[in-house]
Amino acid sequence: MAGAPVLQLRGVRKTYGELVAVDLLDLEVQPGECVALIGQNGSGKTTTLRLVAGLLEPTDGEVTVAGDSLRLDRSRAALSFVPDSPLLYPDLTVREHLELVALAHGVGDGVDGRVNDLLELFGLTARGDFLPGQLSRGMRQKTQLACALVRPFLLILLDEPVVGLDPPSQQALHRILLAAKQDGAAIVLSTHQLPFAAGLADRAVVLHEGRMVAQGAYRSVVGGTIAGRLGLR
Amino acid sequence: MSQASAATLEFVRQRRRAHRLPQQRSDRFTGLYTVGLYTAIGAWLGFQALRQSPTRGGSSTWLTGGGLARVATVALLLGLLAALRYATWQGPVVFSAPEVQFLLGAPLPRAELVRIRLARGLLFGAGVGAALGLVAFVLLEAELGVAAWPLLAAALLGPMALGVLAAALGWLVESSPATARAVLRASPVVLAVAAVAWLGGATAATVDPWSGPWGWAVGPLVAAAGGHEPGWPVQAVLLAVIVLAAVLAAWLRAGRITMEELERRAGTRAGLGASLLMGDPRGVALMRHEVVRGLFGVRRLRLRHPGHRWLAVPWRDALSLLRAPGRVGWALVLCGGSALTVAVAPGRRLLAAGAVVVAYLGAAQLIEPLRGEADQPDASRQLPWRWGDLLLLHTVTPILTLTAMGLAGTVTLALLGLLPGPALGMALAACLPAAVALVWSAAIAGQRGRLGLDRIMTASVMGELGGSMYLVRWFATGPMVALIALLIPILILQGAIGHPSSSTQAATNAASLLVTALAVQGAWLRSRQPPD
Repeated sequence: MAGAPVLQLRGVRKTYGELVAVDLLDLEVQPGECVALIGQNGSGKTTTLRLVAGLLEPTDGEVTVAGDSLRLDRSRAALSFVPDSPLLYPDLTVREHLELVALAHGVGDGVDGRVNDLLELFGLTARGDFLPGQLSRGMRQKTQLACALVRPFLLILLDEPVVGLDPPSQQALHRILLAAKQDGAAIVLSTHQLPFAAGLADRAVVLHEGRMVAQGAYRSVVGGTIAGRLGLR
Repeated sequence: MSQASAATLEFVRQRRRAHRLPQQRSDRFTGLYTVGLYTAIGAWLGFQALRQSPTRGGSSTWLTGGGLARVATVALLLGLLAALRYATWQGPVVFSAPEVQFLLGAPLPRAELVRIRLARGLLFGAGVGAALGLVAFVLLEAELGVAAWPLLAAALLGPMALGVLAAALGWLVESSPATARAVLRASPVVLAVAAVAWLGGATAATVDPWSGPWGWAVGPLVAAAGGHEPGWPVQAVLLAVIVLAAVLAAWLRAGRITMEELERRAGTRAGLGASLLMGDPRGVALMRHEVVRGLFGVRRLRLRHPGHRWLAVPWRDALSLLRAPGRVGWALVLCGGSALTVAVAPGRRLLAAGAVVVAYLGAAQLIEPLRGEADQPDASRQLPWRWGDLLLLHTVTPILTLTAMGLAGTVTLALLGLLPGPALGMALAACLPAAVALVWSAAIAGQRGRLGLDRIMTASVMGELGGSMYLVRWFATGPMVALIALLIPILILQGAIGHPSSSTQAATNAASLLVTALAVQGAWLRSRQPPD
């Protein structure tokens, strides 16, 4: 899979005082490729995703999305992000969240159909007019996922996307992400749920104490000695 | 009280006492003693200072000629309104979360447990009233030098009775969601009526029997202060009757509240305590918003979404305003009142400055979605705009709303014949820039996010004076920005009233200053980065 990478990290480092959260990370992700970040708690997976999403500034190194620096609006339009805990507006309903994101990204005339499809897929149709305060954690997570998927993107970042999701919704998410991959979108996901990643990820990157300690084809990395030694299987 | 309730409460009381260290008891006593001592010394010194002031007695004609009646009546009405609004989300009877689980969850009569708290609430209301009455007594006695005992009795008893009334009515509000909704809906109207009474009552020397409990509490005070108030005995009787009726009604309704409601308030109280401890008023406001949302439920409304992506955020903000129309009501009352004040009282700089600050508070009501964005800036990652652009987009709907209010008010005044031709043109032209200045000032303050623990820590290491100034600057930023943008143009325009020859020059100068201020505000907002 050679060509212009959608995501490129060169020598990225993030420190908090003396704590090194991510250390000299180099990574490239191609269009249509899915990379799974795996590692123990505190290994730097979430920090890496937040660096890529532009929510954290790297201490050193460079992150580019579709060839652009994260400071450019173009890269924001190309990148969709699902954080590990749902961040929703307390005064908008589920449906309005989806409509807002779709409109803001210029989805145009197809907004209603796209919104309805995603509500249906995640079992949210009956709760479309609910505010986030009236939803369970799982429902809020589904809303967050639907928001990330309702808009066009070249790269989607998912931080523990299936925590709190019921099995039908996990399957629906799996199908949607596979379809997105086939359409050329790149996926970077951080997860402890290896069965979910297994059917989706082409490549795995193992992080340990902020450093990349292994990377390669998903099955060989997950089945390898380093993943075994870290107890990730 | 039933034997089971008494035994359980006694057990809880004994256990709590047993776990309280002697040092804690001593600290509490020392704290109360210190507060009492300083209050008494401060009151005495203040009293003597006022009594020996060379300007003593200068306000006596104004006070006894209607000023005292007007000020005290409006102040007590606002105090009662504040107490009732507080009861919509907390109120005089609030249990802690463990008490809800262990005491109210036990098979004990709920009404008995509630009545103990209610009695405390009534006593607290009386105490607050007495404290305010004492302050009023010291000020009035020092200024007027009338017979002390009747004045002290009137100053204490009236506000005390109103404090008890506020607590009793507070419980009635707390125990009935429908009443709570009515209080929230009526608040802007009551405030508008109070403002009209304030502005229109300039010649009223007395408090009439129909003026309500807040007026009846003032009547005896006016009479004791030497004012003309022949109806005060009737007012005192009316006040006593209504207080007794309210206390009786509250007492009888003690058991009429659901566990769900008490649990909700207990949860809110825990969060409220944490927010107050951290000096986080935004946290308090968010909790109150959540309660209000719970009271009114979700307003099922549809607003057709726009075709252009740049209108997505204004559309979302319009939905938010439609879902909370009370915000528009408050903005209307606060901004409308301010505009009227500036129009009817030219030449009074302090009043104009106060009006700008009040108008700023009105505009701040409309930027709640922007504040919500600053509360969780990571959520904006779903939207394709830079933070500065997003902030400006969030101000579009508030600016349009405020401008529409201003235009509607101006046209109404013109139709009533209260605005002459030249003033009408100037007022219409000022609506949009004034709205932009107010909303952008509120946005400049609101985009900073919450006053978090890190800022409190910063203030704490800056020393007493430096830390206090840091916090004052934090809270005063928005009003100060509004004053810088609007006050000088307003004073320039007011100065040209009655001088037609210089009005064009004054308008040009005012417009130049305002446009410059707006350019700075807009550029500053656009350059912002998300809060940490």
